[in-house]
Amino acid sequence: MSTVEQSDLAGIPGGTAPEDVASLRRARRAELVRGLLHSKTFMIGAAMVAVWVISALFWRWITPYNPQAVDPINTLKAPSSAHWFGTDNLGRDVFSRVIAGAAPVLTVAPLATALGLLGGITLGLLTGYYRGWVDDVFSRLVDALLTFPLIILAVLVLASLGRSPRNVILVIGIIFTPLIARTVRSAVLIEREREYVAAAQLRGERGPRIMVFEILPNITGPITVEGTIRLGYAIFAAATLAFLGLGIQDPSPDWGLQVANARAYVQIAWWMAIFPALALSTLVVGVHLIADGIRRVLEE
Amino acid sequence: MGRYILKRLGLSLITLVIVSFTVFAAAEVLPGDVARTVLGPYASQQQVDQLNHKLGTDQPLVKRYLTWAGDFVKGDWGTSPILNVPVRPLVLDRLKNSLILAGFALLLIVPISVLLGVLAALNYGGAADRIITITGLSFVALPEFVVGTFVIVVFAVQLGWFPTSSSVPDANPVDIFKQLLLPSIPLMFVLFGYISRMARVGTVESLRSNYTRTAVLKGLPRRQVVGRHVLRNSLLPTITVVSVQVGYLVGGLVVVETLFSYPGIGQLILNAAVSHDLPVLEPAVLMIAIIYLVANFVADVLVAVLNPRVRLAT
Repeated sequence: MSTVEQSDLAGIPGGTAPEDVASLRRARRAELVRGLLHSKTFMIGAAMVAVWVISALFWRWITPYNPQAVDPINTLKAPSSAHWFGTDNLGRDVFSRVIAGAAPVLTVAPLATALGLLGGITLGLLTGYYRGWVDDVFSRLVDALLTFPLIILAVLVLASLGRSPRNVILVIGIIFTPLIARTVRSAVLIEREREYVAAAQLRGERGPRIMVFEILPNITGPITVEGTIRLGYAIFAAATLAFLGLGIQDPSPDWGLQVANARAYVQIAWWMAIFPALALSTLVVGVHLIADGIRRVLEE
Repeated sequence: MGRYILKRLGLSLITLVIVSFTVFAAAEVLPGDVARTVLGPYASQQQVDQLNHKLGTDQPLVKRYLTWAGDFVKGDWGTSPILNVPVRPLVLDRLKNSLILAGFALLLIVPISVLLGVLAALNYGGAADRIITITGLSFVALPEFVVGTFVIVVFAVQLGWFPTSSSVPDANPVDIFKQLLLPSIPLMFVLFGYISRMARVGTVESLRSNYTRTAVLKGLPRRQVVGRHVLRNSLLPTITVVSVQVGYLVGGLVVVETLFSYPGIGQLILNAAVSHDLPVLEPAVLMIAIIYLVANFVADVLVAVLNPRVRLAT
């Protein structure tokens, strides 16, 4: 624990009192927000993602039809004024299903990313700060894991654990953990050589405290960028697993699932496949634009 | 050089043993009684136990692994209890089909990606650089089944130029393009993103180096500077990236083969995993690991041949 009082620090010439650090951090954050608002890449990406977030939250009020409602008379109807995106093989309104389909993917992907961030930050801080043989073994293991086709790993695990959204979150989160840990680790490796870490060590602060209260606040930049990029890949992975039939099951309007179901009808009803695919593309590209915007603003 | 190759070979073999055990252990953890799956819910417990004993699924894990690994090396891969066919011809045939598809995609996209990546680097910061970089970034972000769906709808359904599902092509070039071009486009999108980025970064670094400055300052024409000094150094990391992408390609094949109903090993693995067909699943995944290791080994040796610093450092 810190034995140095605030008043001691204030007395040292050139020493910075903790309040100054806090206000400095606030100022830097305000500058970051200003930078993001002026970044065209970030704003376009944010607008694309916002559309889908609103759809995911409020689809019950936005959709013109119930996305699950079957209409046996109007099956496989081409896009018209009544059904903007046409109807599917059960007569369900594709537009309503595309709007409602934002909800499952925007539940699974952020939760999986959060799980990966939690594990990855913990593992990255520990291996980066303590180094040693654990770090060596860990790095080798990550290299080995990366070489293995991750989709095959996910297929194996999901086939054994059972196919459900909860398991998809677990699988993606666990696969992301070492990948995020690697980014966090390399950021920690730079920070641990800085003077403020040596100062904290001289004050007698313990490792866990230094990691969480000294190093972590200084590496939020790379973590934010990594988290956003991972979110993009989580959407990619969740949709792909749903497409392969390993995630959410049929009545759900999930986009990956819709494309998989549409495959059999692609020659007579292209609209069943193209609209969920377009929706997914805009969401994924939007997330990547946000990540790119944040990265550029942070680099400036 | 010989020592370097031996060392790499040894490392690859050790990795192979670890991977094969992991594959075996992971697959065997899959719950579900194999004999019960084969015989159905009406068979008596005694019949189930007998079949399990015959299949050897009641033995301890390490012993089963050794038996299995021995049989695998001898080429005795058994029969699939689900599909009722011998496993070895099935897996090798599907693997061959996948190699045809993946090879086609690689042959088309590697030269294009390297060329555009180098072009972007030579125009560093310019319009061409921005277009190539942004295209690459968005290509990588899109899931294969999304790109696949777009190309099916446009080129197969609307224009009717290609079939909506692909089969193994005959030996003539027209049929090869007709069957393989659409399914390889989603793979090429992702590969283009990674390979062109690597070629660009490598070339940019090489352009900034001292030896390039020396070459320029001693008055060599630009074409000679780029061809002799820059590219030779910048393409080394690209070779490694291409070999690492073999691992990705297999994952992409699972999706693309499912979407295009192409009879390859990715589709086989997906179906075997879902139906708990372990005798098919294990050798299929192991073959992929072997191919991956071979690709990396070849890339390592190639880099060592081209770069004396790598082979002399060991």
